Amino acid sequence: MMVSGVLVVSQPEHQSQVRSALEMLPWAEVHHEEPNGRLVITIESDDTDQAMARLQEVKDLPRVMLAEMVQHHVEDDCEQRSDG
Amino acid sequence: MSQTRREFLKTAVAASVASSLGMWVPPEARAQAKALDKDLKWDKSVCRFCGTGCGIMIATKKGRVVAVKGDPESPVNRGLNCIKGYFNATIMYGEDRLTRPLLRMKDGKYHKKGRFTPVSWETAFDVMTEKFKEYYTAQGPASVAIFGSGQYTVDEGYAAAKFMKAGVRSNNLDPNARHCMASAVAGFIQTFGIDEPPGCYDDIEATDAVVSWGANMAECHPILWSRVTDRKLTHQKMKIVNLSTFGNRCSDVADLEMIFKPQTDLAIQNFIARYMIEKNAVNQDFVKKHCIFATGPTDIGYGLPDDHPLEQGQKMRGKAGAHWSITFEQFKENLAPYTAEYVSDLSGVPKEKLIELAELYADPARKVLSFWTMGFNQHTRGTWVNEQNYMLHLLGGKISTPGSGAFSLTGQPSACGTAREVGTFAHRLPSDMVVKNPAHRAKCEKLWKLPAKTLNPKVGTHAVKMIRGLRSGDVRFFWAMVTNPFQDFANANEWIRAAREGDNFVVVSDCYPTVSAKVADLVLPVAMIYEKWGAYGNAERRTQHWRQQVMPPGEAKGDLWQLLEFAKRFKLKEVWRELPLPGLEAEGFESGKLPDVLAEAKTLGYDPEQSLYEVLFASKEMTSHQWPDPIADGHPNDIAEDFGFFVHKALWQEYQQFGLGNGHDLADFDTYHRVRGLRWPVVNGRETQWRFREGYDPYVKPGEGFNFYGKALKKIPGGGPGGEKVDLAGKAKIFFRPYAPPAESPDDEYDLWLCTGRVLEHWHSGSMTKRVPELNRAVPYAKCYMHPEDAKARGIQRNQEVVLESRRGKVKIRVETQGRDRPPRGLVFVPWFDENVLINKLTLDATCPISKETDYKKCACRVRKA
Repeated sequence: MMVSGVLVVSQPEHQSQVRSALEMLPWAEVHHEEPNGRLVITIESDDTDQAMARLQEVKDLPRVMLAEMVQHHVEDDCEQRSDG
Repeated sequence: MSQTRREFLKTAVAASVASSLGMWVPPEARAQAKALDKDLKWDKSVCRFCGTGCGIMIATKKGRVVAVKGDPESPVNRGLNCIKGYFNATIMYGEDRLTRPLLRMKDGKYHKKGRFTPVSWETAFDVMTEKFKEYYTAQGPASVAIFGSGQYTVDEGYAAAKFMKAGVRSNNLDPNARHCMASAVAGFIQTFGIDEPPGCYDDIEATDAVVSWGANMAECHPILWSRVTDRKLTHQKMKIVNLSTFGNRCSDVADLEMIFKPQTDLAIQNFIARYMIEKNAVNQDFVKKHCIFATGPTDIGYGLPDDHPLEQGQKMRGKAGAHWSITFEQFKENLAPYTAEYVSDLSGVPKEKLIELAELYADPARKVLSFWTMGFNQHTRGTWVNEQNYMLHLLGGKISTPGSGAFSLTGQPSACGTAREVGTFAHRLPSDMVVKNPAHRAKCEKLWKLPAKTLNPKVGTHAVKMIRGLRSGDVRFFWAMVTNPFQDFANANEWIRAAREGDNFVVVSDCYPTVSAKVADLVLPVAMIYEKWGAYGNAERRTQHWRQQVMPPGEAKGDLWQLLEFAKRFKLKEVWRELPLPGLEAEGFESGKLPDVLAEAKTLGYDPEQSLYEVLFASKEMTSHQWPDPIADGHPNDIAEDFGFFVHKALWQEYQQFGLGNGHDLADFDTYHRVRGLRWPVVNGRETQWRFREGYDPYVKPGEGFNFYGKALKKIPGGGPGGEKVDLAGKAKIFFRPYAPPAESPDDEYDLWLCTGRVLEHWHSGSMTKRVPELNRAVPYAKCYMHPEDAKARGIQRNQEVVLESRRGKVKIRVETQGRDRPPRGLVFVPWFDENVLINKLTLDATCPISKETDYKKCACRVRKA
């Protein structure tokens, strides 16, 4: 299970529209926001493949100017995999 | 996972993100973020991908990298990270990572046609040394070559340069940066007399307009692009212009999009200059005090082989870089043909758009920042088109000033820091010095403690000549490090054949079985980014160091280790004796040979039986840098353990000497481990944001205002090619360069333009990013982006497989008519990351005759149904 912290930026006048759109996404949660158009959300995913697709979905929302990952946390590290 | 754990994670990650971005976070959430970090060991590091140079934080747990985040303290990315940065950790853990040396063998022995067989390092070096010496003895130092990289760490590049130039006395060291930065370098040297941008990224937050020329920053430099869009959000006056040969993501936020026909950028620049003069917008005071007008020959060819029809009658092809001063009146006259009508007709850009762009540069009250990358550099007039952008900025005095600058972006993490600053080019020495210059050689011989005349004064083979040398037999030992040449070079079929069938020995140091590794005779497994100590220099002159975080897998070893181990196998008497060097003509040297310097070596205290390792890398001074060192703070260093001293620090401290007082001043090793990088020149502990500018640059004296103090090419003929030399100390050159047609254009037979480039999810040839399955899924294979009408006219459907061919080769590829790259009619775009679609079989190996950089951006092709 993975949790990615993502910064989402829009024009301030579109912020509430973007926020509402984000709240419709079952795997995303809005945690922090500033009136200048910046929102911090988390994206939950089962693997990085899904995380990427979901980030793309956020980027493609109307009025989103920028959505970039900031932090990425993997809960179960792949300890079984060998480095050799 | 329990619901509470899930909630905890989300709260903690969000809190960590928000605090790193400077947002207010409630104390409970902050405490959770702290608790999450409890088991992780975080350390500052640098992204290993593009030239932006983002700072990232790396978390390790049980000897493995498990998490990454943008470094909030990094002045470059301020906590953000693009998708590539995000996977810095994952690239090291691909299933097919190379972990043992592999040698082509048959019947238990090396054989060119043999199969790859795992061997010990001992055997690998034995065979490698034997082959090297076989060719070196027969043909001399010109027959051996290292093809290096803008992804070399600074210490790796420095060691490679020292080994080749001071050790085996060959200047055949050239980086893949030749393909991305050579034109930018030539443009800087010709214009300013010193390499690298005057300004820095801080210009973005101070500018009124960003003009992107031949770049796709939204995809290729997304973090810088996020700073540009942020400026647009917060600064009303801000304008964004996107000039490109096809519509891309930058156009989404641009105020003005200009799609021009390939190669016509030069004409557009000349139109702007003409417009500025016409509107009286030249900053006369600045130009008179700090600039001089110049031009050069036009019959310089296209860097193609001698027998190519385009090279016939091109008298100045060998002297393409020559130039002389002209008057302002002559400059103005030369620009006369570039009217709005003519340029609009040539470029396909409507007149109104041309004027709107020119107005930005002409407006004295507007700060303008120009960015460019490969669209300029990979151009048969790449040097010119770089120079012409400085022309625009110098005419208006919009340079070296917060908010105004002309900025050449880089594609590799250390194209600046290593390839250029260390000088891993065939003609360069560290710190902007060149092998041709006797004073420069003498300075390097002194710093490297070499006998006089050890250094070879003859410029070595540049990248394209190097790979052509494999075919002609001029180059027989070829070692590629941190790069994938057999996928990257234009006209790739030729070189793969030359490597596989010629009498030569190809060594590839690589982390994965890339195209180049498969073409090699010997593959050496390497340590990757966080499996070693290192330093990179980004596009804004910022030098950043990192510590080793984890151990390399299996028997893989850093490139630095490989160079030093190889150096152990050469005795001074083998390489500092008299050596044949066909074609050498230099003052103080006998024709065609490098002198024996062993006698003087003895007076310096060297023994002919000593190895190059002992002399170049393990002197008393070097080994005085002990390992362990407190700066390591518990981090590993397998290379220091193996050699018994802190090799990285020793090399850095020696390298630092080259730049001091030379405009390239760097700080000491330990300082860089305490800060988030510093932009050189670093004088008295202070970095320099704006070079050449009083108040910012310590090399500019009070009262001067500006001083373009670069020393190279500052004495040029005055008034014409044969004129008396004039001294331009302290001045920058404003060049006039005419439009020249491309080397190949579409015709009846091959009716489309082919342009190649990168996409966001993949980086360069994809040897690392393609190992990340997630990145592969996003863009699983290279597509041919095409205008829907062009597809329709050929009866081709979206996603249909087609044959794309040029006069040189063909590939099968699927067509994409939608999506983010939107070519105009008559042009197709193909990214070059996919080793199943070797697009460089099609490209033409025409180069800029000055920089020798290949033009990957334009040739003629056609599409037919598969």
